[in-house]
Amino acid sequence: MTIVAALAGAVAVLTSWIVGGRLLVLAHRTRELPELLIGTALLCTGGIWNLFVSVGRQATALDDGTRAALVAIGAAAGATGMTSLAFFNWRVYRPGSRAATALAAAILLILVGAFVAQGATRGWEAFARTEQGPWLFGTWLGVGIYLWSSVEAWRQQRMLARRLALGIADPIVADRMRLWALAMSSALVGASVLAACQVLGVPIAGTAIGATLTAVVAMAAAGFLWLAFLPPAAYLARVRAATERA
Amino acid sequence: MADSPVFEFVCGEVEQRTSLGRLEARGTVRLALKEAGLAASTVSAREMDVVLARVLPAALASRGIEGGEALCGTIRAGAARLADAGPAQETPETIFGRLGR
Repeated sequence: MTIVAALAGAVAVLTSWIVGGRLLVLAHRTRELPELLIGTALLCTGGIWNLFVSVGRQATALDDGTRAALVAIGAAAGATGMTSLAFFNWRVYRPGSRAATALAAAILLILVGAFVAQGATRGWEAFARTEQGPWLFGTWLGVGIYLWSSVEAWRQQRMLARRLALGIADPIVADRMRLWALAMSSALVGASVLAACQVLGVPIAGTAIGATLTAVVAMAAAGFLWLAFLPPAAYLARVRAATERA
Repeated sequence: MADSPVFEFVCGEVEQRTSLGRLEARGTVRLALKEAGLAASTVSAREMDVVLARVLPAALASRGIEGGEALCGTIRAGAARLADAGPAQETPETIFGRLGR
């Protein structure tokens, strides 16, 4: 199971690099903020945060300084990615809302605060060894951000489904929203279990539970992201055909 | 966030041409939009045309307004004359449409 989980994790990291990179290239072309935010979020969370923290936590053969550096770099990327996702939620779903603006700004400040506090108090070596310290709060904030993303995406998906029934929505866009909602829900499940285990002191790294969780969540999220942002032509044809039949 | 011009136009027409008061008229149109998966702030003239044809007549009937189809037909003709400048801001649908390019 550990090998399967490692492969699934590698696929998820690779998918985040490819999909996130593709969205950043799109952002460079369009000069639009949403693609910059979602591209940064995918690249930093799935592509760097997960990878660096996993290696820093589990590669016990490395010296403490290297492990601490890896975990700290991963956490910095995680803070950047989660902040980008929060601002993506604000910009895409609630651009005129002062509450959403304040929430995204608060998330940025709390993540920066937790990152600095971890370095200043327990240190990153301690986090690499025991996953304890103020940065734990960052994990829970991640749960909150994925919950926000999931709720907004499912709400939009329901609205798009209604418009689709009236023939005033693009079936491909409606399906993309559904896949994004599924990807965010997968991330929410994974982050929630991880955060709960961290708080309860249940070891995840190298355990059967951790390996299974990683394999299932990572593969699901990678599959949804790939179909949403890099769909094969045959998949798009299937979505269109299903809409026409309905 | 301001409501779209076509929403304001349709609400005004419903209020003028039925016994519904201002708040009732706006609430009825707003609920019809919600049923169609649309928002008052971003609905376009093209989308409102579909709502007037397929959703609003039943919504008016459920509030005891007779001849909803004919009324909506008249309002559609007026709404069609409004220039569809599109929503003032990008919608999630527009953004997610662009993310697949």
